[in-house]
Amino acid sequence: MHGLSRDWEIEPQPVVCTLEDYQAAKARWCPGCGDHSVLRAVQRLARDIQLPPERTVVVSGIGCSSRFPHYMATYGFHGLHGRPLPVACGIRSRRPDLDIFVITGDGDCCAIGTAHWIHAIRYNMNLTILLLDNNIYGLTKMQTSPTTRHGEKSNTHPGGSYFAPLNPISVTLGIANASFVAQTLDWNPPHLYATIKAAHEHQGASFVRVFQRCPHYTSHIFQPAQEDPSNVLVMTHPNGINPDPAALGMFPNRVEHDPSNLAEARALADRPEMFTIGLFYKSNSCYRYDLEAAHGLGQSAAEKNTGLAQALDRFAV
Amino acid sequence: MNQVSDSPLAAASPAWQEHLRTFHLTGHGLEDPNPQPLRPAVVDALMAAGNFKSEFPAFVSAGSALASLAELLGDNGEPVLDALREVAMDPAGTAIDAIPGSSTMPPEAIVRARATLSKGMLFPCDARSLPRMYGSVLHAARRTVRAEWLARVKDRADRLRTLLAAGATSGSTDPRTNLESAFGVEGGRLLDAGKLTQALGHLRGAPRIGGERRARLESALAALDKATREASAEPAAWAFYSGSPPPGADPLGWECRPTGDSFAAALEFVRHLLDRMTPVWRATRLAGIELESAYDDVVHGERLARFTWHSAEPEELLALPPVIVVETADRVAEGSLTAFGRLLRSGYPVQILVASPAIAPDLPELGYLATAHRQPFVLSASLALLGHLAHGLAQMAVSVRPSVAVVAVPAPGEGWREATAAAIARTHPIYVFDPEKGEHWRTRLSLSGDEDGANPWIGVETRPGSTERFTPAHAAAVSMSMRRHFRLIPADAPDGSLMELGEYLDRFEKEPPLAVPFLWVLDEHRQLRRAAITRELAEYCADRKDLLRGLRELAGREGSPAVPAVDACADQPARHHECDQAAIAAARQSAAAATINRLVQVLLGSTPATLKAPPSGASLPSPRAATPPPLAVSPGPEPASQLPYIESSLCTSCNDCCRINSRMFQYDANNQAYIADASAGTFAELVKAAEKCPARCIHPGAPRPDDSSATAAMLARGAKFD
Repeated sequence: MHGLSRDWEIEPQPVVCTLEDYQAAKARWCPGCGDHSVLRAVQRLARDIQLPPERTVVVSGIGCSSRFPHYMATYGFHGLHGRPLPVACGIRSRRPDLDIFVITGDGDCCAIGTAHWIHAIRYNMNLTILLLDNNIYGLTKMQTSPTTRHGEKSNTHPGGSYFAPLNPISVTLGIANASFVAQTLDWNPPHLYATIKAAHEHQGASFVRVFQRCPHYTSHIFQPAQEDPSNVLVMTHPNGINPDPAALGMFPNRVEHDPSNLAEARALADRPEMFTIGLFYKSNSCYRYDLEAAHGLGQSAAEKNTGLAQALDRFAV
Repeated sequence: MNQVSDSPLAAASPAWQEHLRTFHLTGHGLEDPNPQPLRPAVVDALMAAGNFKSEFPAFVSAGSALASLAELLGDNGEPVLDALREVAMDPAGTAIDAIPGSSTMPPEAIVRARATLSKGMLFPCDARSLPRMYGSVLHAARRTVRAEWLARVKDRADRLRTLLAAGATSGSTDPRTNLESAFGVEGGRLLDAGKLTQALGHLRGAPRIGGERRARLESALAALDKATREASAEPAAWAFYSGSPPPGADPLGWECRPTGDSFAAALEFVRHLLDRMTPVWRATRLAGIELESAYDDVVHGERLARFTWHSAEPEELLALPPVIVVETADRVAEGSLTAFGRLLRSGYPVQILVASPAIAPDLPELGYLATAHRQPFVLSASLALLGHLAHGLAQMAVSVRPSVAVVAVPAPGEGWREATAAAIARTHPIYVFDPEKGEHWRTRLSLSGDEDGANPWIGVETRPGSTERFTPAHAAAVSMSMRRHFRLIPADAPDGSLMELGEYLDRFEKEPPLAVPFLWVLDEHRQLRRAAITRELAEYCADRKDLLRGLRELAGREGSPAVPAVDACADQPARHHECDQAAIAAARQSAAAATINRLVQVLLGSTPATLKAPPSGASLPSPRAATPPPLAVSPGPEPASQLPYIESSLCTSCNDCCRINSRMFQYDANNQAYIADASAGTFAELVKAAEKCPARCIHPGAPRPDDSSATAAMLARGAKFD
């Protein structure tokens, strides 16, 4: 029409990120470590959905897996032992625009960080929590962790562990307001990728436990499942994790499980003899604390002072 | 109705004939003391055949588009529709009570009708429905655009604010004031700014924003903030009118402004509005560039300086509340035609809604006038044709050009019957003129309901073997406001000077025929009677025919010698295509036979005496097949299963294989391993990598003949992975 002229355009062009844009330092995990697989899956997901690196944060605690933020060319927080979840909740409260991945391990999450784990799941803030569970303290050279199997020998229990292991999935399913609980394994990248993708898409705290091989200390634990896929039980459902069917062709054992059925999810989680993978439970109706915590973000310092003064004026001194 | 037969003049007398002629020419004489509405025979015949129906009432439910209630209710809804066509505009769904409870309708259809009605609003076929209907269409078309634009402005403002805060080493030169603004008065007293900065030192890394850039960012931020603030106070639309206020506009959130000349006032207003918005649009772009840290004064400074509303994106213009002029055709014709034309030429995004009487012999063709300006979007529609109207209004709602909708409405006190009759008689042209559609008028102008160019009016069989055309005069006969154009003729009047209207119009070329035209109507005893009409009305019919023919020509339907030529050309490729099909099939078959022959020779090293081309392909024998060249048959490539390979999609990127041989094993674009060069390593390395691979996705294949590492033990170890 006469009037609208579109002969020039000054808006910046959109940026397209490649895999290299998400890769930072060369990963210093041992060759053969399952952490490599998780790292590549997260990087591939970031590239596939074009997460802006400057709007992505990876938060971790202490442990082998917690070196993760160093290898992602995004923002990162390699923090205190057991405290990645409080840090991530804090970030989520003040920066609702960021994508937050929490990387934690069996020692970090299930031992020193247990209280934070329980409350972070209960707060149900929008986080993607990956528990990289190798059944051992690897960084400090083989001590018993909360998920080490009964009778497993380690430097702290040379005669074998005295306790039955803690099951992170059963615990999480027992926490009130849990909204997304899934389990996968590092040596099937398509399933791992699909699980992390589903967890990232979920709006709320998505908890994913990854069976992660430690080639030095616990390779014998995962070897049976690696060599004989019939030790793996795959949960399938249209609402569950659905990778390329060809990638699951090797697993003969399947079970149809509706992720909205919590009782069945708990029953499936309590099967220590199997490596059960897939989506245990998902609910979109859980309360999200981060929606509450993000109020008042656009206020200036003066507005905050005014608001504070008004709130305080309600009290007689 | 039988006044004429009571006339002291006998119908056959020359004096009566003279009176009739006077009436025809002047509209006076043979006055009817008690005029009743006429009932044309064509209307009666259409009703008997069930073809005289209205798409009204219209219905809008929350969040959905304008639709015909008839479509929503389906086949069984007719009794309900009959009851509802007479109701007034009904926002609260009280029309539900008008549904006859004991009608012949199935109960479930009544229940469905009641359920549908309770969810929305009903519009009768009435001029007063028009602004309200357009308001609903506008709301549905533009609300998401506006919400998205506001969100974008707010987002950019927030990010600018963050950028400014991060780049400020100090908001004020006085550190004490800074501390007080951050921590309150007590904080300012207790804390020492210098020592605090020394201890934290966290601001050293932030790039400082100062001087010109800060001023630029702050002014952009102020413009964006101002726009966000003002947006909440803006109405859903600004409506300008000169007569009575647009009915039913209040619930739409329109701000209605009475003026003497609504077009001039709207032009002035929209000019100010766009001047006010230009800094905001400029600030949005500046924010986009600055947030990417891409601002370059040489490139952007001058361009941003000459940024005007012409450079705004259509979405930005659509995000503004529209400026609407609501007028009636007679008021526009009386005194506003100059301002109307000026507004259409201006190019400003103003929407004009004109209600025009369905039959108006004395008014100019406003839609046609608007089309003559070529650049505006023009909708010429009728309230009686709801489907076309809803579609056209929806197109108009998303147009950023000056847009005009001239909608034929029934006269005050009349309803769907009169409007439907006028629509069937095509008293008002029905088309959309959209300049966005292309360069040619035939693509821009889409004319509706025009199958037969020579005869624009439908023929209706009123008596066995006799067909009468449904002309604008028949539509006028239904309307009481046009009753003065008709006089009933006594049954005993001679036929000499009378002529049926269809024939009269056929003969109406340069000069009208020397006869008084009449049409057939039914009296109270359902007897056919003739009704004479005035010259004015007959000329109006001829004028409509002329207008429709002109529009057909503009729309490329007739009149241009190019059209048949183009149609003929369009046919040609299809005919060629058919002719070529047989030849192509034959050639393809013979080529396939030749190829197979050649393949067999290469594979078997022999001449295939038994393989021959199929009979249909024999016309094109392959010379090579007849005399095969001596080809050296080399041993085929190694079978694929014997080559080493990796199922890359299963690779966990664990680095195990790369550590064994980084030339043989490399990562692809997904960072998953593949065999880059199988000859760069030994079979033993392949087997070791396969054994270490946690995903079991490396398959060593068979060793090369010259590979000394392929011992029997190694072969046995590798066999597990194939």
